[in-house]
Amino acid sequence: MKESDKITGLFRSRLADGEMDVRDGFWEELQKDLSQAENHSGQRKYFGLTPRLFRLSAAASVVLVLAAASAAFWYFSPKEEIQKAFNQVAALSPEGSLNGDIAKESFPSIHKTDPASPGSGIGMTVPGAGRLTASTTSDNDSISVRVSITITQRVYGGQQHNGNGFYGNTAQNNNYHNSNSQHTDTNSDNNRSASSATNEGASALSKNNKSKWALKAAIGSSLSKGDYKMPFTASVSLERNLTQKLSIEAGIGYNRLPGGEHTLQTLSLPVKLNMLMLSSRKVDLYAIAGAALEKCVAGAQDNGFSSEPLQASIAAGFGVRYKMSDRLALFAEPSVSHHFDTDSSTKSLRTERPTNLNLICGLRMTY
Amino acid sequence: MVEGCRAGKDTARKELYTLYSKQMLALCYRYIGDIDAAHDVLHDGFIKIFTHFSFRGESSLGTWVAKVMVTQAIDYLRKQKRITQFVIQEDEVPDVVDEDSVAENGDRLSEELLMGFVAELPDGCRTVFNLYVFEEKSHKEIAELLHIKEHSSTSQLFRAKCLLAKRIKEYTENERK
Repeated sequence: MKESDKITGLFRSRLADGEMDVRDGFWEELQKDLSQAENHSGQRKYFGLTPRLFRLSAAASVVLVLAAASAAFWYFSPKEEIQKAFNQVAALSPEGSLNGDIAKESFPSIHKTDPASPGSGIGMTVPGAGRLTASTTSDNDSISVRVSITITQRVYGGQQHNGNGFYGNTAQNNNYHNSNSQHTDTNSDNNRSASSATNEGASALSKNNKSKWALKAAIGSSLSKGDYKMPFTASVSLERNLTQKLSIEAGIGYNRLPGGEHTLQTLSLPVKLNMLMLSSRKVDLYAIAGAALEKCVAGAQDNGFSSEPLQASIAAGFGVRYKMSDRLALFAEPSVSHHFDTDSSTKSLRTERPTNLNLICGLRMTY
Repeated sequence: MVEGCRAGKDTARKELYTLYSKQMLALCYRYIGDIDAAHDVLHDGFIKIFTHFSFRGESSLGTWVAKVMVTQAIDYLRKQKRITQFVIQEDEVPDVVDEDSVAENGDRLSEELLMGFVAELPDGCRTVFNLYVFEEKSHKEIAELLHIKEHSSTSQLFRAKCLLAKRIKEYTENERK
């Protein structure tokens, strides 16, 4: 290699301080583009947002407003009227009419007839309930074919009563269902399975109702690209049920984006809406839509807001939750996210693969 | 001039531009190998220098300006996905020629010609050659910077030297004829 050093020496000595003539008009062009670039960044500083970020914030605001509206609707709506309305709608449908009302009425009647149940809180349903129950059994006996419709309505009926202060009597409810299934056993096999399904549904819903808040801790990653390795993400978030199916989640995340010239470290503030799609005793499946704002806090040459502005992203995906106990659940959330381009000159996985597949897994604790 | 550039004064910027633009264009051309693209990189480099004037005086102003341009040039090559084509024709290493006579002959050639030979090199080994010879980076640093293995930086440099030697030899032989 000693000989070949002569070649590098030759080029170093001859070309290190080499000069070339810049084409005409280059400075004028540069000056023009420079003033444009500065005006642009000046405007940005004034408004604090790039037009793209502005559009995105507008979209995020719409999502937030929708979420807030759903929350407000849930809190301020007259729930009794809605339930009444629901029952009326059920009454209008020819098949479910009688069963719907009866399912609703039949629960209190059990508390009445059960000697162990507390006397308070059931007074309203006492007078006519016994009579109705009698008609229930006879009706169930006569129309045992329409089982599937009965299931749905019983679920709602059971949930409603739980919500009215009957949490302590779940066991008794279960007893009721068991005895009921024994009672209707003679009808058909379908009817028996319907009763047990109702049991599960009712208990799952009562759990949901009890725990409105949940704390989620998760770690995850995204796909890598080229020089940019898989990032590491850790997040903590708080989830609140808005309705039985809809919940809003917000938190803080830490992201480590290795690769390129630097390993960037960012903090993100995600907001998500989760919509429960399917639920069983052990497993929940839900859809996720969300947006996040991310800020580079370390790793770039200059971590200030001017050279590393806020980066917005949107994401959609689904989640699977495995409920280990009443309080603890494991979850996995695969999602597709899109990071909107910023004016930052620092390259990262976010700029090289703006639309990426992500997976986070973690623990969810309800309380 | 530094204070003027920091304050965004046009006269100071013009002064800095006049001082370094020719040298920086040669640097960009050395990295990119194409004069139009080199102008583009020079343009973007100066925009970056003037809009984010983060010179703190740790090195000389010229070194800092050159560093920004080198980063800009490597970013450009990376964006064009040219650096990733490193391993292509790895086995096609040219024959080793007599280094002494090549160096002697090469010294008689003009800067333009020598610059042209560097520009003709394949992108991958040109980048390694530039970083090793002019930025005086070690193979370890080059490997980290370009996200390649250290030994491929070594082999790319060897290949660059062989190609340059071959080119000088060819040129001088043709000249004699």
